[in-house]
Amino acid sequence: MPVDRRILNVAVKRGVTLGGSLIIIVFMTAVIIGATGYDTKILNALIEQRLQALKQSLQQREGITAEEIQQIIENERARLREIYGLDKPWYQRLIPMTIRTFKLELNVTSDDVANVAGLRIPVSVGDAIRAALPRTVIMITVAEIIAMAIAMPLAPYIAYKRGSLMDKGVVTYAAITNAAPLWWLAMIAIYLFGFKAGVAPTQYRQILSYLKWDQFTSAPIETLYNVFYFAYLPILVTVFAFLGGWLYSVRAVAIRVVAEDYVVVAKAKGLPERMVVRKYILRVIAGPVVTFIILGLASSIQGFIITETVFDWPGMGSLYYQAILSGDAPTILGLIYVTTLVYVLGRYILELLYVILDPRVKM
Amino acid sequence: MDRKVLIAAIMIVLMTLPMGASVTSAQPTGPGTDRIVWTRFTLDEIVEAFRAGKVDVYLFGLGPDQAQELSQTPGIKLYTAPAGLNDFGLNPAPVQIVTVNQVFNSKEEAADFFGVDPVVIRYVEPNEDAGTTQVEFCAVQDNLPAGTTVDFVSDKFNLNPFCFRDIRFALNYLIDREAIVKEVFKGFAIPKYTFYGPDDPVYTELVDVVAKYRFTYQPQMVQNIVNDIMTRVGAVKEGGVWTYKGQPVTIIGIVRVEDQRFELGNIFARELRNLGFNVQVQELTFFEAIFKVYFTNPIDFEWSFYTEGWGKGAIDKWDPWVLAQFGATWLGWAPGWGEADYWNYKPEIVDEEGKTVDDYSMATALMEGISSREQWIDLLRKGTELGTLEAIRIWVVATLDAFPAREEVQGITVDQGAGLRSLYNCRGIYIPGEDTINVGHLWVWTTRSVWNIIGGFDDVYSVDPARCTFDPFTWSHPFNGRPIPFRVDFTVETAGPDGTLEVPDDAMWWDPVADEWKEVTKFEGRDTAVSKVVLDLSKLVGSKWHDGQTITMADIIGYWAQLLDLVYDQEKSALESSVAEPLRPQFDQYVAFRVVDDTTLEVYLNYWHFDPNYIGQQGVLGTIQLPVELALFHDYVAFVTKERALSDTRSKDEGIPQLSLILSDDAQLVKTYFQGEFQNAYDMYKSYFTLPGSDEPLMSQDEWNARLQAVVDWIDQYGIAWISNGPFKLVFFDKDAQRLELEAFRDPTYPFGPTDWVFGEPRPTTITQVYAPLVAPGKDTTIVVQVTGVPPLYVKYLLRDPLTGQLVATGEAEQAGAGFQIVLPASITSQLQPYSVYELTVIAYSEEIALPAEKIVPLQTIEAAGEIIRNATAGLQEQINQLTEQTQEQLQQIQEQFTGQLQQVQEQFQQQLEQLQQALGGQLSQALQGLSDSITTLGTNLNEALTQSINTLSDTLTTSIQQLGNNLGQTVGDLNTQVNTLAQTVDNLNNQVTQLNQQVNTLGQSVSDAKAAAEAAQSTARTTMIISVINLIILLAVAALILRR
Repeated sequence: MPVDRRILNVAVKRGVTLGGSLIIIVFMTAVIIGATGYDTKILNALIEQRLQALKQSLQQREGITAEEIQQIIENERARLREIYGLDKPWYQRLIPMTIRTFKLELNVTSDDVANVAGLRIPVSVGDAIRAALPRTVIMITVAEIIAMAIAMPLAPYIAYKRGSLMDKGVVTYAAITNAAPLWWLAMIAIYLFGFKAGVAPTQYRQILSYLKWDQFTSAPIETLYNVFYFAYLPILVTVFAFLGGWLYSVRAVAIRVVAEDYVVVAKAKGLPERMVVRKYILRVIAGPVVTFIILGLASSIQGFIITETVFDWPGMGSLYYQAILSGDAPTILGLIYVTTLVYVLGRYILELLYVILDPRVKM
Repeated sequence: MDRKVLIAAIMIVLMTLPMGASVTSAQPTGPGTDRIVWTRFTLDEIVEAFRAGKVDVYLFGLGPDQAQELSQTPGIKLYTAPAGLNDFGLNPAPVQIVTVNQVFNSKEEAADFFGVDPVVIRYVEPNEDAGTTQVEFCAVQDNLPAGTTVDFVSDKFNLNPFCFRDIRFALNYLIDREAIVKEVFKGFAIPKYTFYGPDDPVYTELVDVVAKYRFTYQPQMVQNIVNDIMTRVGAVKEGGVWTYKGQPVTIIGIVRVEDQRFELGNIFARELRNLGFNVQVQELTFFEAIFKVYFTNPIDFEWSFYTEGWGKGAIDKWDPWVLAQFGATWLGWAPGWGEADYWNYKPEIVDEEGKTVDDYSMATALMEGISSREQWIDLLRKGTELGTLEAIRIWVVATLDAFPAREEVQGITVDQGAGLRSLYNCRGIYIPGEDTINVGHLWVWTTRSVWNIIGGFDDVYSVDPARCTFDPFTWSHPFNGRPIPFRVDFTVETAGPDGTLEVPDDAMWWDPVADEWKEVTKFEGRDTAVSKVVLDLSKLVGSKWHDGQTITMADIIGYWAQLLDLVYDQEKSALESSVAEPLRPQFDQYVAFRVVDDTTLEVYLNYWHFDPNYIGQQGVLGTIQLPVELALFHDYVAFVTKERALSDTRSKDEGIPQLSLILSDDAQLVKTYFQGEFQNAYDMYKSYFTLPGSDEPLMSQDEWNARLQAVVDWIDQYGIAWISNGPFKLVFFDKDAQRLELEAFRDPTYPFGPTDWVFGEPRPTTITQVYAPLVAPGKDTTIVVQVTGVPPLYVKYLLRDPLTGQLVATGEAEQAGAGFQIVLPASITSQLQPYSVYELTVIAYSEEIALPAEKIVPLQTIEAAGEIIRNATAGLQEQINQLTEQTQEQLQQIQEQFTGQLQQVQEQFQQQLEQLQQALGGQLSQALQGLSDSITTLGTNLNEALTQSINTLSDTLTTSIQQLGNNLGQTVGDLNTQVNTLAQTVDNLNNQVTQLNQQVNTLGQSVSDAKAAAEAAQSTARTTMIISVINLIILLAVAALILRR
């Protein structure tokens, strides 16, 4: 089979399989949410909480009878149930909801979710994700890329120098950063660099003022400076936390290769160290490392709930958390759809790369 | 002449200069500080932010843990205010409901019929017409008489312990509230014994009703009550657990996990287990818990108790809704929640007047049949007592929010409802030497922070800063919740509750169809009203909006027309029903308005309250917060262009944004319209501010256009469309940066200065002393109570037998001079047992301050106390005698020493005189020298002796008093050991000490007298010496004359 045909065949097959998986995942999530009554319960509770507040505020007004209060409450309840779609059974809402999820057309139902996005209501799920995603990318994806960029050339070299002081240091460093939670490091960093040294901000949410396209086009340098000012500490902390893991895992992959005969022979032949690392180690471990990278980048967009909270950085993690907490089914579905889509795309690219790079791979 | 005039003129100018200076240095208008910067600080960072000096005042109430942490930070002061309420909601549902074809009017009759103990029956509901009775059982009954129809029997529980009212009520004694406040809430809470508490201003009228039950922690008493009832019902305790018909008696506790209620719930569960119940705790979050408790039928028994938590709103002096919401059932807050498909709780207790808690609650809440304040209070007291006895909720605490502020911040008003969030604070606060206050809040903007005056302001984050920018017409007093005039003064005339006043023919009412004000005569049924409120607008009309435009009557009339149109125009009220519907019942009370002159407006309304300030407050249809053109812009975009919603319900329903004037998008929208088509909207809206019968609107087209331009200029300058009339201008807002800035508005027309609304901290009512003498049974006894606080002050008392818990007497103390007297007549004291201690609860309160003071003192009957005190004071008397003797000895010594010294002086003086006479002539100078030396020596000796004597006396006195104090302490200790409950004896001993002190003072006075006498003697001696010297000089002069001659 010619190479092009083989790649096309794999591309179509994998595209159909992964695309189907995506649809099934979103649909099944909608079924789970609907059938368990999860969102219904929470939305009902939200409505009742709101009605209780309304009832209390009505009581504060002089001269309203109990019947009038009850009537107002009933009318408002009916209206809210209609707005939240609770006037229909869940299975009737299922198909339209799934279809609109793929179009990211649904509106978020919870004010708290809209608040994470920082947008005035009504807010579509698409708008909420479009607002939160760049924040997560700036902090976590960028940090991930930096960590990878450092680890990729360094880790094989460390593996090559296995047992050296540097190797031991990296292993220790990886163990420490693996044990210390990122959010804890974030708290320490804010305390030390923000409150004590005063070289970093203490309130990171202000970055939202500068993450605006019109602001960037009107004053690019100033906007970039401000974005950097608010982002550098979260990025540094995240890089610090991630780097150990990246170094350790790439090193682990490389160590096996370092022990291979052809590497030993290359060393014995007296080839330069840099050449041995680049040609005999890095090239061989490229496959698994690319897998790490693509899946790492794909998962980075999910954000980190606690770390984002510590930095008051309303990204994808916060959006996820708030959507689950508020029973905001449209947002939950939208987030699952987008993160699964990114993962599926990453996987798709990865599998195509395997086929392209390695003729032995058949799908 | 001209010169004189000139001088006079200069003089006048000079005289008036200081006056001018005093005018220019007078208090400026506007708030205490020049600028407030409002920034978001999360709860996680606020402690560090304070330490780093980034924030001066934090307006989001801290929980107990953070408050405790900040309370230990130097330079930070915490202000507390009631924030919420915690209770255990109980499920009192029956496990079995049956109907019999007989009419029973009491539980006893039904119990006889069923052959059961009446305690097992929760409720009987006879139906005279059908000739049947529905009976609710707290424990399932198997052998029911023939003809009984079982309507319901639980398949989950066969006995519900919380169905028994006696058990529910007894649970009040199962809560150690003091310990919970201390341990769980770290002191940031107030024990709460029923739904009303010290956090409610009206509690002062109810405090004795609540104190009557004295809900202290008495688990053994609860155990006894539970044992009694469970045994009577037929339950059996096996292995420490109650069982009924072989099944363990089970309680399902729903415990919230998010806050202190987690600990509360587990404490309560532990106590219930100790009583022998099988308690199953479910630890749930808000959504899970609320669904189980409020979305299920109580007879499904998804829950037995729930750790309820309630937020607390603004304080209200005469608040009947606390009873209606938490103690009564008619409003739908009792188990069953008013849902037609659910079993609903009905009050069990009917008082001697045949009324239930619902009857009293409805009367007080809806003012049904109320004609006086006394009557209202009486009904509220009765309702409160019945509601407490129904015990569908067991109250635990009123939680306190702690608001931290730097110690340097001055001008604070500690609002008993809103704490530092009170609108009074932004008006008064400042830091000496600084022009900016940094205010922190949890958020500055959220999606719910909507700045529109019709359907917005639904969260504290928009309300709090907005209240700094406008002045309400009326507001509530920060310490007692009573309505007070703010920007507008009012006078009230009423014919209520039953009479009516004539409405003048030139009064007006809004016609929502024609969209214009019309004479009231053109409407039916608007010729009379119960009350009239005259609003004096002179502090408002004529002053300026923040954009420099003058406030006129058009701003008020136009806005009120807009509100009336929103409610009564069918299309508008349908579109914005969530706003219009709640307003309608209130607006239905208004009858007419009458513009008297430029600054006076009469409001006629069908509303009456025994407190005229409430009528005055109700006379305000709406406070103006925006110039009329911006107010009417709400109407324009909501109902004409339909680009924006006013309420969030409509916003979500139609998918259009809610108007919010601080967002840049909406500010630009305002600007676009104000520069274009909204100028033509004058024709549409001029009728809103045109009086009936007049062709001249209260605002001309030119003025309209000028105002629109002023708004456009404002938006150009600040990017915000919020323009108001209060002490601060909103000059910066960034929702993403979570920051806004307020700048002082110091226009000379603004009527208030920086200190006009500073109330400071409430002066709490304090009971400083209760002097309770020994009570001789059968004789009148007067107890003196000293109280400090803001007058008028009142004192109530309850006398209780602590052993039985029975109330012996209650009443009100009489004011007598500077204090109060509780007079217990012989008829009451004759009920007291000799040799006994009674518990006297004294409650003092002020009408002006919400927090009452309470003190419990023992009251000792005379015989028992007499002996003890005699024994105890015998040693004291001995000490006193010793001290007196020692002091007398010392005085005698002083007197003897002094007498000796005096005699010595006299002798020496005599000797000197003799020597002088003998040696007159040549030895005159020697004699004088000797005399002088003697006088010096004498003085020195005298002083030394006197000082020594006084020192000795002083030492003796000190030692004696110390001994006396030691002995007294020992004696008091002995007394405490002997009779723990006789704390009153200590007061009597203190009295002895006071007398002793008086004696010591007397002794001190004697010493002073002695000293004075010694000084007088010394003075006399000196005088004698001087006279002698003068005599000598005269003699010498005579001698010299003789010699010269």
